[in-house]
Amino acid sequence: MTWRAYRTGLSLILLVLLVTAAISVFFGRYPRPGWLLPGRLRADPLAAQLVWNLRLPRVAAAVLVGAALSASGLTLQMLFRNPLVEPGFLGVSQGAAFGAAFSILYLSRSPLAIQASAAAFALLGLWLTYFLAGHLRYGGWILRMVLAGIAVSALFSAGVGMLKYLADPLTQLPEITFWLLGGLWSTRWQNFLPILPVSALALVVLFLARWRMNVLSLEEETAFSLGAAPGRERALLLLAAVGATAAVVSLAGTVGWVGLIVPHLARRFFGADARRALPASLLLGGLFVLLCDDLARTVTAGEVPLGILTSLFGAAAFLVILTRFGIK
Amino acid sequence: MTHHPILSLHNVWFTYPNGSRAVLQDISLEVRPGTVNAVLGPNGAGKSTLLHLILGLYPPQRGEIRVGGRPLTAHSRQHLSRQIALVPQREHIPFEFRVLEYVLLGRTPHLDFLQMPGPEDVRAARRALEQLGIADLADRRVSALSGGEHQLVLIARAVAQETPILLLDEPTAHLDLANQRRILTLLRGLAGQGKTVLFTTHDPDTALAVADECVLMRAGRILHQGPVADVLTTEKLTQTYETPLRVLPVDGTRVVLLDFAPQ
Repeated sequence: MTWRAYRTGLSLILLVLLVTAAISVFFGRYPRPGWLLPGRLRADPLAAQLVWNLRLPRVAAAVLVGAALSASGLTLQMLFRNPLVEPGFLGVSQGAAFGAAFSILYLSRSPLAIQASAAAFALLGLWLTYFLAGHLRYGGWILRMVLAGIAVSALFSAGVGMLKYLADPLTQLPEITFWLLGGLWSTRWQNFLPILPVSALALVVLFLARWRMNVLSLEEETAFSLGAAPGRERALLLLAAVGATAAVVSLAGTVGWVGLIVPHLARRFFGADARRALPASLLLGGLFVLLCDDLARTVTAGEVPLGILTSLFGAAAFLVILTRFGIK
Repeated sequence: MTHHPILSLHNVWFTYPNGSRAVLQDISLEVRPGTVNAVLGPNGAGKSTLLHLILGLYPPQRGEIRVGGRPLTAHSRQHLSRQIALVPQREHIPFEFRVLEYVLLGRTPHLDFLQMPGPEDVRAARRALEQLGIADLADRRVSALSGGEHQLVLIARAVAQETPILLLDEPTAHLDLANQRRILTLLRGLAGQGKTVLFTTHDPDTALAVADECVLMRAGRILHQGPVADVLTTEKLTQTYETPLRVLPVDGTRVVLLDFAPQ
């Protein structure tokens, strides 16, 4: 793909994303399923309230969640030299799940409290993985991080199982289950804005370092011989990627498959070079989650958990890619 | 020749952080600019470790390495990566980079931390491909190349780095005869343009074909070193490889044969 074709393709996706976002704000189930005409905003205070305080933050959050998960997924895949890595695997997703369930049972059931607890345990999961990886006496750093990540995730997922067992089946259990399936139904400005600075900063770091990611995806000795300091630079990018993931997971719950499938699509369309694949992942990820969330809130009178839809479409796309083209 | 060495090691000792045995013992070596140098020895002699130390990947516990007359530790990481390029034994690339994108990575030492390669870097990468006669591979996927093409692309990446010193780890180890010849001719050519080449190999014929100077290593020690004609003899090679072999003169050059005659 030439750079010209890349710029055209990326501009096109950006345009589609902006148009979809604009449409999403006026599309929903109020006052009846379908369109809400912009003119109504002035006449109907409830409509204005709905658009400004519910749909707008929710659309923004969907785009941010998708962009962050996809960019982090691509980054971790390149740092770990493994195209099958997903952004929550270092104990972050299961840590967040445990934190949310813990808050629902023992702390508070307000969305902000659940989010804070999820974020805290996500970071604890990452720290535990990092700490344990340093103490494993086996393999190189990649293998150690992967093994520690698997172990920490399993510990937290056992903890989640225990909390579900202890939860009140009529009130707490459905709430835990719903959180675990992922979704943006509780998004308001007051729980979206706190994660915005952290994740935006992390995404800017990843965006700026996209050429460096290519270098760090080489073997250790080669990256070193090219003047990189693989250990330090990897730690920086890892922290940015996982920080962004922890932030959006704390808001949206476990939204599966986005961080795995979108980088594959981005590489499929725009090539493996992260100078192109990273911006493409950001936009495609935002678009993918936005579309899934539009479906999640409109197809039924209730709410379909977002994580179910992203997993459904993500896994389907993955199977199509695998059977038709092979991994890239 | 009275050139100062471009690269030298003085009584270097090295043990891996959790190893018990010294992998390199009292290594001293001087490499003159514009020469082809072969480090020869059986598997496990410490040849690759020697390259890693010259790169600065690990510091020696004792002794000193000097590059361009200055201690290795006096160079910044970036400056050192503009002096020495490495062609690793193999480079597994899990993503489908195009050849030009991969060779462009060789420009990294000439860029600042967050700087992207520009048109001048792309030109340098294309120059490297042309110099190696593989300009036609530029848009191919690295993962789809043959063994010989892959090795040429690895060397192109190091050539695009535009360093005076080129280190190669077993550059001909997995190649057929035609590709071995192509790579070795190339190394000779690079030295002809003033680059200093240092490569490891376990195959004495490879060293005989292109090297000016040769180092024989075994179990972390240098047994013999000097001009190829002096070092690659039946006696010294037999001692290095601890296996019966013979160096025979053929048509003005020499070949190494394993000696299967009953002892």
